[in-house]
Amino acid sequence: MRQFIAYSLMLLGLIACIDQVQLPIRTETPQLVVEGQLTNEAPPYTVRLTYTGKYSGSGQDTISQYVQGAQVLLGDDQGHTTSFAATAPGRYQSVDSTFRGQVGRAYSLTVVLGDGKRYVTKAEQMPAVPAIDSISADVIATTNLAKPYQVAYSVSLQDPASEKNYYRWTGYGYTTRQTQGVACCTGCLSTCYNNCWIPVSSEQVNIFSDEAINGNPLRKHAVLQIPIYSLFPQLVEIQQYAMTQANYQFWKLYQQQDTRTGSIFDPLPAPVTGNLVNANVPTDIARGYFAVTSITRQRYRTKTYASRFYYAMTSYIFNIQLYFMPSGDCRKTYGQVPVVQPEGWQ
Amino acid sequence: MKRKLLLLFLCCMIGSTVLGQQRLRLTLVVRDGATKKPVVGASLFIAETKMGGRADTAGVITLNHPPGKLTLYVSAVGYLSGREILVLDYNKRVEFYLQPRSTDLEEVDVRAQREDKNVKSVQMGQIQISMPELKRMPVVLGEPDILKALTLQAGVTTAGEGAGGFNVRGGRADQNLVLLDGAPLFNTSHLLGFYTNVNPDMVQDVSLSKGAFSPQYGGRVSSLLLMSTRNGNKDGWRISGGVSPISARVLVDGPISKKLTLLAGGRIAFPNYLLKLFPTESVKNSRAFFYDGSLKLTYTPNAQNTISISAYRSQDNFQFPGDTLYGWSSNVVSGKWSYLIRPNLQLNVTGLYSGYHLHVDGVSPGLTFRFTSYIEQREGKVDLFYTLNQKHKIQLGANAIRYDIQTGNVQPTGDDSSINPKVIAPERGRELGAYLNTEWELTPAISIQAGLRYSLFALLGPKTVYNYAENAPSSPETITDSVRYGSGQTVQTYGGFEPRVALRVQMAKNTALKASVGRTRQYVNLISNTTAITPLDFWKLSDRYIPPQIADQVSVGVFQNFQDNTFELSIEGYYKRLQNQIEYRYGANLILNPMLETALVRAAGKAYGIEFGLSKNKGRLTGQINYTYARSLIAVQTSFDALRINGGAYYPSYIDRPNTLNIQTRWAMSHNWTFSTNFVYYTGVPATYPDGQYTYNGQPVLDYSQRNADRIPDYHRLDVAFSKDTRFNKAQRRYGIWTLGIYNVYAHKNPYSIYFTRYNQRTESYRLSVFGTLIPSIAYNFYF
Repeated sequence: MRQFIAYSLMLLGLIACIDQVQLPIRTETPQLVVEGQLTNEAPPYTVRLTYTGKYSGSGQDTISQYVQGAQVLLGDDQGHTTSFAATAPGRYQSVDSTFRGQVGRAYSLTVVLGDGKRYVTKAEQMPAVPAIDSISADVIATTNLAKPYQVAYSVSLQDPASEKNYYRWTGYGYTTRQTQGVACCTGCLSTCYNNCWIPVSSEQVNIFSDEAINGNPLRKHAVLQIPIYSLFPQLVEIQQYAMTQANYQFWKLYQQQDTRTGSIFDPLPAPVTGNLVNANVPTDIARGYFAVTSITRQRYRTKTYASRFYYAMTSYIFNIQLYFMPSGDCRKTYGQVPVVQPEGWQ
Repeated sequence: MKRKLLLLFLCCMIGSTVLGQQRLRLTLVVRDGATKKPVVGASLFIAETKMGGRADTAGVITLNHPPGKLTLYVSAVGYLSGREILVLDYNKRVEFYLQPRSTDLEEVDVRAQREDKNVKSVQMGQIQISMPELKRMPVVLGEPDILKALTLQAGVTTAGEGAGGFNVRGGRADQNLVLLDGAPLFNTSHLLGFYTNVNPDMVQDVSLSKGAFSPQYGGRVSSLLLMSTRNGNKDGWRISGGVSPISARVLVDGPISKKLTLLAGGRIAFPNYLLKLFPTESVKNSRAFFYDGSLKLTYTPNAQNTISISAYRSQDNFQFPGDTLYGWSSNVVSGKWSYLIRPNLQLNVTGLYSGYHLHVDGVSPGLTFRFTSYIEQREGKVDLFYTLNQKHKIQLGANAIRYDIQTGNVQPTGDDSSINPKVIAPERGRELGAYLNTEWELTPAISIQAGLRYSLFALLGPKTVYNYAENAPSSPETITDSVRYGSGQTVQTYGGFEPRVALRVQMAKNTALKASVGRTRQYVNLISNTTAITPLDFWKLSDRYIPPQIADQVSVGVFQNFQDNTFELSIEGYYKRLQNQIEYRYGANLILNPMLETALVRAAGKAYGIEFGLSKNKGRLTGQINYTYARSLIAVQTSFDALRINGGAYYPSYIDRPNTLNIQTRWAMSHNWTFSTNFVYYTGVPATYPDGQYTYNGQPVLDYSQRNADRIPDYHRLDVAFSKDTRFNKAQRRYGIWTLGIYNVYAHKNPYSIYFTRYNQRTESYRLSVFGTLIPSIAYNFYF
């Protein structure tokens, strides 16, 4: 469908025009927003509770949007519960360090607001996450002049045939950028703080249903791209989540609404509601989702940048990156980032 | 009055000698321009000498006349008179062709009807499009377009500029029965709706019924659009066509034998050169293509029988570089036998096939696939027309339809594709209909048209029907059990009467009051989760969870003609109630969903409005003004609170446009120039703007809590066109028409949509204007 929109707009691109406009914006009653997840990893677990604010375009939550004084309780199907304590405005953290999510067990979240409104999620069973078989790294050339060469990381796995699987991936990693550095000590010849490890994270929501490929291999599913600025290794971690079907549908709706362009070929606008519902008013559904999800992680260290772009890429590194290398401590240029290689990658 | 004269022989020798009192013989043979037969009794008058004569039984007029430059006037009863200038310098024999008043060599203009039809006819809510005028209208990129012309009429709208389909009196795009030579078209657009997929050259007449249409037709609830293709010319072969910046059209027609005529035409588009103008590689390397073609054979073995066979095909393709390939096509074949049993009794037997097929080819490595969907309709129908006397006509008939629908089928392509095949079980249905209709002029002042249609629908197996728990919204999780129906087994039936009644009361000589009431039923539904219809939408038969759509419409109108039918004034009001409309749950998954009912929710609709129309049909300046006040509302009907949109209350539908004003003028200037204008104004369509925001997943998210609570700004536009007819006289057979047009003359940035885009953490609202500037165009139509 995106293609159709793009096509129709492109076809008319020569004559179409776009102008910024100011619109009259309605004010509606604030709605509860929940964001959090229970995983099979060690606690604590965090739940973020806010209200929807007036549309302003700024994208920042205001202090009045944070939910204060809520009671948050997470329980499983065997009667175990943990309460959550407020740690920051709108932020609640589980207090029982022995309460840990387990695959196959069902969980439900209850939120009671200061005004007595009670919201609950329907119990969701934590699905098992299939293993990542391998991570692939491919050097690619882009049209972005600031990042002409990048490493595209992708995962391959075998989808289990016996069940419906809903995947989500996130990833982060480090790439190095260099400056001339500073002397390690007064009078030293050696140079310090010349290598900064710049963190890079995936930003797009990346989900997949096995509906079309159930039981088959999923090969080289793209997760993350990290720009190349030097020949130092890149460090990457990819997290693969197993979601419930309802959680997958929530993310589909989120994606659908996030990519609305206002075209008449857009899906109809809808609130991105999830699984937290007012126990007394069924139409009062909170935005956002409390996910019950299992995670597997795999790390990867790029050992080589061999590719058909290798010579062009090294030429770019030597002639652009190193030639125009900034002076001084790299943190002055690239911010408070690690200056030694982060641990955990072999 | 227009004059039509074809002079086949014209000789002009400048240096010829004029002889004093010498008389030369001038012989004129006057013939009928259409049949070539002599015109008996035609009159000749020579302006310079006041001499003249009358044609004999062979159509011949002979005079002895002094030489010189003569202005000849030739006239005959039933023909357009002709004028020609001739230099008589030796004995000459000249043939004149006079054109019958009722025909126009260029094309048949459907306005060639009774001038007072709008007052005398019992029908109301009718729109007819003039094909010759269509080609002189200002249009985008010069491509004449039937549906775009319809949307300039009262009560007809589209979802947006450049959107496919059309909406009639608050009805959805799938509620229009579009018939091409009696066969339904399931898709009416090329290039996503920028153009209509019926070549206007092929079409003889177009009429749209907005109200309760004849009970002869059924299966759609909002309107009936009848398009009939022309028959091939009996008198000789002709070629006509046209070129616009985006396509070329050609049409050939003529007699294969005395009893058999052929009409064949096609249109092919070349949008790729427009794409290549773009600097962006992805656009430059994209490919789009469409064509359509038609064929009609008409066999008239004798005066009682006519057999015609029509075929039509339209195909669209487009592809992005290295990306998904989309293709869709419509195929229609119909055959009709008309038998005049007695002078007052006619039988029509029709058989037809109409199909719409879509395929999508995915080419991503490892995930290559082909997705297909289709709808096919096979239909047979019999109609009997009986004229008891001039005041009383009866019509009865029956039809049987078989529907075959595939809503989705995906198959892997290539050896390394991980895609699993998935086929949604094809649907099969049967619709039977029978009707009786009578049109009766009770008194000279009162006429009535009363009809009753009965339709019966059956969904046939094989099919699996799921049962859901009653205390929760249907979903894959609430299935309690399922029932499997075997092949050919009846799964579900629906049916009912569809009464249609129209009344005309003549209040004065040129004033009529009309009223109509009617019910229509629809058993096929277009499933589309977007505001505008797209080629990816698919059709679905009514089933246990999707009952047939039903519309009841009441309309009342006053029709008044002035000054010998020069002006027509009409005021029509209507109220329409729609049952069993389909709405979509939030985040509905429609593609390849075997339990589609879990993505849908039932809704009720209502539409009402009043349409004012004033048209001037005679004189050098002709045109029309129409203004419509109309509302279209919808409400979701479900017992489950969570599924209600806007709390279950009525809210404006996507096609709700309270105010619409259209002004069209056409000024016939000298030297065959015509100047046409269109002015369009309408209230902006409903939209949903964000009414809240919050942060989720580290990103700002917009919240849409109320649907269609906002409106985009109003729309207005003026188009102009100059057209030049290259004929020296109306009887000239070979000529062209140039049309120079400007769309959106004052370059108003009309909002096509409002959208919101996030840059970093900030969201801004933008207005997209599809045609944000004026668009000049040039088009050429020829007739050889």
